[in-house]
Amino acid sequence: MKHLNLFIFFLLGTLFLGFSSQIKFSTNFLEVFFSKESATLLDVTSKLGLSNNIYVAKKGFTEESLHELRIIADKLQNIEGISKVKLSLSPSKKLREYYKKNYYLLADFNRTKLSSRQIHEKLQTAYDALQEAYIYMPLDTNDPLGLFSVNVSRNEAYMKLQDYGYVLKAEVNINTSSAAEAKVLYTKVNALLKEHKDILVYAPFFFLVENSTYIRSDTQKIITFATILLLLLYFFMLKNHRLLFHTIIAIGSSVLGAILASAYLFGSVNIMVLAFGISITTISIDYMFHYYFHGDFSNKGFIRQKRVFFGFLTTFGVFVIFSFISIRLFHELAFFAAVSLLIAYVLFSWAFSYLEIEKPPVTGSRFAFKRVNPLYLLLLSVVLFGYSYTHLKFDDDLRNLDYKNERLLALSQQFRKGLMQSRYQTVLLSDTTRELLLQKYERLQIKHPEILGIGKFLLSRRKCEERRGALEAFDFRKIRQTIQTEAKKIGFANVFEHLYTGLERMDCDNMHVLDDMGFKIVKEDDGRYYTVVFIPKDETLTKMEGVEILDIAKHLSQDMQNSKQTIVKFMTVSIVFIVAMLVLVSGINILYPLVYIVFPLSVVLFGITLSGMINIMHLFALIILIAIGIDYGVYMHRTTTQTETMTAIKYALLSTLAGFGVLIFSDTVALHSIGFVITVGIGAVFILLWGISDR
Amino acid sequence: MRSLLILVFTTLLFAEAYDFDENKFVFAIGNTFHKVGRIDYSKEKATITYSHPKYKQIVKVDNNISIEGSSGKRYYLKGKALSHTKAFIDIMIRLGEYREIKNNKDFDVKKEGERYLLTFKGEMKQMLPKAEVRTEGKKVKSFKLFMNNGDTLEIVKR
Repeated sequence: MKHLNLFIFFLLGTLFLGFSSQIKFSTNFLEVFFSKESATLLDVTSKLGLSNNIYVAKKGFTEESLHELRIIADKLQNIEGISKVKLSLSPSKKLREYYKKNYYLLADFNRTKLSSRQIHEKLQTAYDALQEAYIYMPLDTNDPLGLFSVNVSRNEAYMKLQDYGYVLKAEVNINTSSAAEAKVLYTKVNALLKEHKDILVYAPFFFLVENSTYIRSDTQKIITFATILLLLLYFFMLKNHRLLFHTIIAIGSSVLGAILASAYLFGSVNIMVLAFGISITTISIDYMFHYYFHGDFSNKGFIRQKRVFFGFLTTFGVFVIFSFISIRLFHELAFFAAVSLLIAYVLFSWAFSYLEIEKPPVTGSRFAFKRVNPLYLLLLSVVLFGYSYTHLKFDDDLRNLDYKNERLLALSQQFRKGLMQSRYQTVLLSDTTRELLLQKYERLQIKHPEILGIGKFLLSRRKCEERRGALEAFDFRKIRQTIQTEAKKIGFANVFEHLYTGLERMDCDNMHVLDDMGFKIVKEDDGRYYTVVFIPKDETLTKMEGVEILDIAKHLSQDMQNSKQTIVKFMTVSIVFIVAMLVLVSGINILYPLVYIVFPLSVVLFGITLSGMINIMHLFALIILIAIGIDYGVYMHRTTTQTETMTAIKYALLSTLAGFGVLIFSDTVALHSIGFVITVGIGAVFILLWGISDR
Repeated sequence: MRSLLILVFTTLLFAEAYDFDENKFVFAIGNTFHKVGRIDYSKEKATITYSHPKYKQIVKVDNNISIEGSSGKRYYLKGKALSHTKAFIDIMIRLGEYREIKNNKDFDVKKEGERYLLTFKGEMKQMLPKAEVRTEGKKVKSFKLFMNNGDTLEIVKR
């Protein structure tokens, strides 16, 4: 039994190694916050190819720039993961052939009937224009009357980045939401472009690669920093190397157990869950300190310390409550924390009792402070709460939680504005069938003639048959004869032999989606068909079912607002649970332990109010703070061993500060927010330890 | 002041020009039309000024092309007229320079004595399959564009 702690560690370690190939760690930070609707939306945009492009811009609008881009395009084409590279804006041969095949169905058709005289006049005008023209415009010998027309709005031969240079677009066929796949392509593309100068390269998925790489390294640095701080704490303050060794083993076992359970239940462990989960596990050290400074490790068998048990039960209970929350990150993290705290509690209460660790000498503090009635701090808390309630604002922009990748953000802005994307609003159309989706496009086209989308190349069956009917009803046989007769009279050479070629071969079955169209129709798991269209920004979008402006940020913001409401609900349930536990422990006299929750909470909220807006990670850290605070409230409440209890709490607080407070140094806002709450909260608990009277 | 001087010198350095005779054969009406003009071009701007049979000035700046007659009335080209004229001005500049014929990536070149036969590639081929450039030493004397519809356009440097 003496080696029970080690045995459990090796058992869990062996299980972890045995299943290591199946345990996946995901690094996608933001997706853990998404609702199902937002996730579907992101999936649709990915399938529609909106986020699957890499843009490469070469400085200058010269032939040399184009030449260099052509070289880059050839190289990119050979990279695995890139399906197509486009430099010229002109339609591909395949698309031209498709358009030619369906020309009379797709082009605008002026079905006004013309008399022989009107035809003569039109031909005469064309004849005169050819004679007098100073610019070269070839005569359209297929349709000299201009019955069919196509609105060509494109004036450019190449895509340009405003005030910079020409741009090429590479389409990728990897899963851009997979950090691993995205990173491989990111590395290859950047290695290829390294030898080229004055190049800008941007793709939306670069955020995932760069940010997850940064967050991973940031997390690693912080974990290393926290570990060093904890080691210093144990080596130089506690001076008990054996206790340190076994505590690390116990924490390690708790984390391993939680990883195994999480991986089994959720399929993968998010790196953020792991980072926070390890930090939360270190809270359990306060059980160990309480036992240690009270000499509980000298007796073998399960340690039954009512205060520690209640402290654990309250914290565990809060995390169990939160494991039912619908927000994926918090649900997974609460589960992780509950499992790791349970294992840690069992290990410290059971396995540590066989280690035969003696009680250390404990001396009281030489400093004496005048202690105040907790009621005063409760009143101060009410004032702070009042101030925060009236001044605090919730930050619902999920992107603000991510690492602020200033370089990429600026680049994204430059491409968004420079490629003229800002002139259009992106609109998502959806319907239950492909035909209804195309009909929806056509209805929208009537209201928004400048619309760009798949409907430029593809008609609904209804509209196509209608057009075919109109073509059949129009007397082209007579038109052909009249043109040929009148042209001869005017003096044209015999150039109108093949008028309206292919008109009789028009068939709606020839219409289909081509990759080269630049627009797609995708079917989602919900059975609906989706496509994206672009409508000028200055036009107000017509309200219609299945037509919405594609604004993922707005969706995510709504997700955040919903998450906030959910968290507040769960916090309320948790506080009710905590109060119930306090009543169980201390009867009706709960003021003293309650102030350990209320005061730190009010101070932290006040601090957040002064420093900016409250975000979802602040909210989660507040839950952790409540869980920590209540432990100390229970330990300190009418304790008869004040010196031992305070020493235990002091060490536990320093451990938590080392484990959690260091997050304040992170550049990732999510981590920094947690660090801020814990650091300020622990500061408030220190004030309570030395500042309030329990009598 | 120094910057201004550099700008002036650079503009002068890159600005070029030539006078020409234009012979346009329009297959649809079976006639050839003769015009006389001059092209001035730099990196930023190109101007074609016709003096015969009528005064007409075509100016290309960035992506805009305007046409001005003797009355002073100016209008801007749009759609197909804009893209065709842009392509035409670009060809007039490029085929007018010997080094462009040697280096250009948009066509294949075959030399026959002082004559170069150009076969266009890519989108250009849709309208203009081939051209013929006549040189004297390292100077272009004339070039002739052969359109798909049987039209031809010959520019002879004066």
